[in-house]
Amino acid sequence: MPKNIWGIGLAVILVGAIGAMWFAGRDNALPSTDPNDVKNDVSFEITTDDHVKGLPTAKVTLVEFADFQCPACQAYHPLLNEVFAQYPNDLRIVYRHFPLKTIHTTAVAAARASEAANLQGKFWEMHAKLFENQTAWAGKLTNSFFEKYAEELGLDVLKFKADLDSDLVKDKVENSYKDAVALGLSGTPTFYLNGKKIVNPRSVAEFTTLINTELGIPNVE
Amino acid sequence: MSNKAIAILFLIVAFVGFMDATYLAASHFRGIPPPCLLTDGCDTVTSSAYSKIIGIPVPMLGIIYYLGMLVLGLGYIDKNRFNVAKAIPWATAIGLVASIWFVYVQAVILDAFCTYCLLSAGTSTILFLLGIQIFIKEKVTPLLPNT
Repeated sequence: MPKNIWGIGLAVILVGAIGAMWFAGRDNALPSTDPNDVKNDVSFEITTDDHVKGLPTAKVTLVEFADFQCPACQAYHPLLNEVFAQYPNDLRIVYRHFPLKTIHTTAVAAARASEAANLQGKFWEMHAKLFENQTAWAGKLTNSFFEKYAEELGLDVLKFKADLDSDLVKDKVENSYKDAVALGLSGTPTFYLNGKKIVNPRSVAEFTTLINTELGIPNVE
Repeated sequence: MSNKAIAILFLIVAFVGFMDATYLAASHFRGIPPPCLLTDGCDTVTSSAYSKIIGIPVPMLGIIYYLGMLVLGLGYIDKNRFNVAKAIPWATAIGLVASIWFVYVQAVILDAFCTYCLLSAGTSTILFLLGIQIFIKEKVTPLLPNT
């Protein structure tokens, strides 16, 4: 047995560690944050699978990619309600899931809860519950909060619980997530107004300015 | 299999486990989930609440564990220094128990599997089996006669 077995061992361990770290550092992972890869012009197909608030005949479509556990998305929730109230006929809002799984441990579970509620026709009600109670459930690894909300919304809780675990619901969230990654999105919320990615407006007024422009309504200074 | 062959196999398996843990730890600190091969839910597992124990990321514990196994393995090859053969089965049992727990977490609690975590469960189990072999061999035919 060579005397320097420890030396050799240490050298191999060191090389192994560097190799493994290099391997992890290869650019093999999600989502690309290169701004050049982000798709800024998209023609979204709004289907019956989508969660739509507003009329199909609305002239302006706002597609939101959001994460129920993201605090910024929560901040936009009342703002969007206010914006929508101003354009009940001309604006439709489409909600799509982009749960940032790596940083938000229960974002996927929440998205699934909204989809399970959707199967009983109460997507937007659950959507509101989730945002309004975000601090209560965020990061807690239990479905009990979602079940409580389901009960409060008058859903069939047994069915809701079964749906939470169903492939249908899981796939729907996962597919939406993959779509967002494919668009090159890296953060939430991300908004597309009539297919054009917009810089997140910071107020209701900034939203209305953009929407008015789309509608051809002159903005009053 | 000779004692030396078992020891070398032990070192190789510990080395694979060590590389695996280092890879997971590096992915953890880069904040990018490892891409999943064969299984579904690497990101779910590696970002779950079970991916940390008292605040320490599990891959870091894995690195420490496998480094310890490498030291024990080297110590064994190096004339069974400090009589490590006796410690090896106990030490590898820790890895086995941890692996059983993490496979349970993945299968029952999270319903998601991460390839690299399963690989680690595999290497831990093999290390335990080899550890038992080393223990038995030492009782029957020691690597070096006791002096």
